[in-house]
Amino acid sequence: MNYNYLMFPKSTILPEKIGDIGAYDLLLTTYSTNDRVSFIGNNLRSKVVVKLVFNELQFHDVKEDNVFSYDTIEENIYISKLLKYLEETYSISTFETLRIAIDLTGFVTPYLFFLLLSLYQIQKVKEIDFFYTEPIKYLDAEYTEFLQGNSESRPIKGFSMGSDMLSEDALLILGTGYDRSILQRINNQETCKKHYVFGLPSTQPDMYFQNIFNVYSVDKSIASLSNERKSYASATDPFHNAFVLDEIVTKESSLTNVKLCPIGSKPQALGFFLYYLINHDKGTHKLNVIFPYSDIHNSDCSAGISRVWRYQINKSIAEKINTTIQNPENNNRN
Amino acid sequence: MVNYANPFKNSKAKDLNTDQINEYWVNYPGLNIAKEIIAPHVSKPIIIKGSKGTGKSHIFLYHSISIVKERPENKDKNLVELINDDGFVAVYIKMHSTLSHRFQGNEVDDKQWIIIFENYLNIYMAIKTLEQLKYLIEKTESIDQHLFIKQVNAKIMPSYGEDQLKSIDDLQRILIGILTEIDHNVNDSAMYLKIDPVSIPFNTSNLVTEMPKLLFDVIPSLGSNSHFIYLIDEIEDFSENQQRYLNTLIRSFSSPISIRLGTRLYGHKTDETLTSEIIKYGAEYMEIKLDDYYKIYSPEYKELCEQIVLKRLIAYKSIDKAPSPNDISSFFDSSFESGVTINKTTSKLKDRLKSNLKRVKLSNKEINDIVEPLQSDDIYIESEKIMYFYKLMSKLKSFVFVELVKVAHTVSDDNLDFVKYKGKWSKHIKQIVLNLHSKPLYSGFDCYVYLSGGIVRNLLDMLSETFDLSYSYREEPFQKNHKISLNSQSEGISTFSKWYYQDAIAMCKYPERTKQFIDRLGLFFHRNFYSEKPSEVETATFFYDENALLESQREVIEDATSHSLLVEIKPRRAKNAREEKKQYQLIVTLSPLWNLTHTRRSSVELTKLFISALFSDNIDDFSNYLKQRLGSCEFPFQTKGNGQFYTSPEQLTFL
Repeated sequence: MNYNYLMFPKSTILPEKIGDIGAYDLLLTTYSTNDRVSFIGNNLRSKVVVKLVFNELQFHDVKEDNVFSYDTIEENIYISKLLKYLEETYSISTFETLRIAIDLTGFVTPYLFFLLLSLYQIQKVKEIDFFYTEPIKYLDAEYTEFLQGNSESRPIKGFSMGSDMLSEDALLILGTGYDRSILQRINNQETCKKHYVFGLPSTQPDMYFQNIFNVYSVDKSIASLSNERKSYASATDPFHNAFVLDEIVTKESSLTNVKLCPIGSKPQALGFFLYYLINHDKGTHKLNVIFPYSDIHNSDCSAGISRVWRYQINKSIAEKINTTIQNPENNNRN
Repeated sequence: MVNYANPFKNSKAKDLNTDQINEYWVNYPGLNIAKEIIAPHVSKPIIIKGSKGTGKSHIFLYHSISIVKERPENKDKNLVELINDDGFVAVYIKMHSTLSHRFQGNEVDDKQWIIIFENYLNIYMAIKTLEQLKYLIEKTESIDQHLFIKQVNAKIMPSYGEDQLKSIDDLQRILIGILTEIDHNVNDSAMYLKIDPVSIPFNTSNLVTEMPKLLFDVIPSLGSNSHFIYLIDEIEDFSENQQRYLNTLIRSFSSPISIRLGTRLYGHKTDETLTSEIIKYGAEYMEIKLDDYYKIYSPEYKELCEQIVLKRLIAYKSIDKAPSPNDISSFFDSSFESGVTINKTTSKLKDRLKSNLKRVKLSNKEINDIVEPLQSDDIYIESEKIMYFYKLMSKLKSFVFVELVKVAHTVSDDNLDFVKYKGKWSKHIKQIVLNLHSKPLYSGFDCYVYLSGGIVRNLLDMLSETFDLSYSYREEPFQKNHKISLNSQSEGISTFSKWYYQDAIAMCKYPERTKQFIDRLGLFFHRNFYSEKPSEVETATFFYDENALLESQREVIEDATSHSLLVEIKPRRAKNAREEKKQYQLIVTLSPLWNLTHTRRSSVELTKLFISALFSDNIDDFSNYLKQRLGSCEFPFQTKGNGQFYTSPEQLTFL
């Protein structure tokens, strides 16, 4: 087990204290009319704030300053246009020395993944602060639908290290979420061996049971799965999620193909990204990240603001973990 | 934690291991699947279509060489013996649902993508072929594998030196290397918005069309009529453009190589090739629809179901001895055989009649006088009388006491019309009574067979659900002298039905619109079935004039059909009319959601008005249409209608 994953800094902030956080150079957040989703964008200090309009959230023709939108269904095209927009509008062409904040709340996962891949791998960004605003509740509890319309699970652009058609011994690690139809579709589409990661502790106490209720109603066989096929990671701690993924994959050392599917909380998705960032070039197995793409994401399904989380992914820590993975002896000394 | 083995778990062929694929195999009664579906003697490509769960993958896997060689009788045989036994060798190649998305977008030209896809598919098929045959080639002493590789080198991959390509291992390594490079370039194209072509110094399509021939050339003592068959499963996952390449590829096969393509009913999206030519059905390829073999009331289908269940039960070791088909029925309690006791003093149909009569301002005494001649010690006889009374009552111009009591007294066995009415409606009325009293409607093995809707996987999944429930109620399911209770059966079937609906909707292309359509259709059939004066018996079939549908409405019906929520049956032709109208049934598997029977006797026409109400965005349009349409069937038999309005099966409660 690699405990270094737990070394990344994280903290909670009272919502009323968010204005006290030191100013950033660039804040990327999601455009939304929901108070929770727009909270960071409206309150965190930053020289440049860009609110991203995602087509899936169904906001059209938004007439506001510092809003970015682009009509495409491809997350990589959207992000490449965003980077161009930042250069043309704010003269931001190098990101390496900037203090960057990204608000995870409301961010559509495939766009988040591709943005982070571009920033960390191509733009060589060293450090990003991530913010996440916890809800008090989801409006329809266990029946809350986050995604609507037709959905299809497929690899996130840039996160497909290899076709899984050649590997019979694939493992899908599913960060479980609420949406029954989405779970059902993944369950049907992905016939390989599955490992479920549940959000526990959950964001709010009742959310764990709501999550379990949905997962079990889709696939009753999960109830009879041995504990070896189930893991638990804090829904609000990306580093704990990355740590748990490391633990799962380490136990399955004979595998040649691992697929990650983060459909739980956004901090969980960030944890899955972090695991990918550190491990994708290890060469021991192919890593793919898949996601249930859907035409419509429900942008207004939560109520209230509980706490705000700040997570920091510092590339030097990531590199250190990468090194310890290559040289396990270093890991033992830490 | 559950710690027992459910014999019906793993209903998908893909979830079975090699031994189970062989062990659970059942040939369709009266049909030689190897000869008529795999049909090695047919050199034309065959597209094998079937609804999900009709056994396409099991058929393909069972006939593939990796599974064939593992059968006990084949364990010692070499490749030559196996091919000579069956007259063919088949390799199974499964496609993956993510395939179509990987080879498109990223601002890369479609033409460039299709070239990359062509190479990828060809190499992938070659890798899978070698993977499945390598062990057998090595095991067969008479095959000169060095000559085979030498031929591959000379005729397909001449740019490789002899030292690079000495063995099957070398060939596999080269091909996997190219595939991996393509994978990397495809992934990188997302970031750089362009794709670097992989340099491949040979024509990859020759790997698919020529390599098996080269193999056959080096196999001595091979029967002259031996065939090599590719079994490609799940081609519905190909995009239309990718299918165009497949159509181009299948044209280039010649004897002894042929191909079988497995797909869902609407999974073959185009007949065009890459050069926009059309591959001709009949002349250039053939089609087999598995659903045509699986008719739920045919004795062959029942026998197939029995055999499938028997195989599972035999593998389920806790059974004392191998059971026979007759044993299967004995494991189930059956309501229609054993009878369900209903306390007559709580007859809900009678209560409903009284309450209806109260609504037309009759006094309690008048109501009792009307109901009295309809009463009987037998709740079913009483119910038949009440329902017949409703029929007569609906013809009255007004509901005055004198008329009503007179009508009530005409309801007796002396009335020939009543006797005729009973003949037609008694089974239907029994269902109404059972439903009103919340008694199990579905029971007995035959019922499972019918409710499977011709999809054998549904049968297994329903039995699996029932087994779990029965086991948890300590009924010892499928053990000698133990019966699965009516409740376990009914609950198991209903739970499966809900799951089936949810599962199918989740996979639909237009989930919301398709669910709304099916919900409304189901509700209409339910309201009609359980009305006081049903117009038709056991209706869950509809037909319509194709011209009456908008494109968006046609899409929904196609979506529902391709996900086995509707079943297309033979078209209906009105008397003296030339045109045929398309006809569909709500799949019987969904019947429990609306408490309908599994039988389908009559059909209703979806008129323009009906279609518009079914698809309307405004739920009130449907509500109003339903009231008007069922006004003559539901008390008080006015076109204005009455009754509570339900929107989905979850909200459905009768009375």
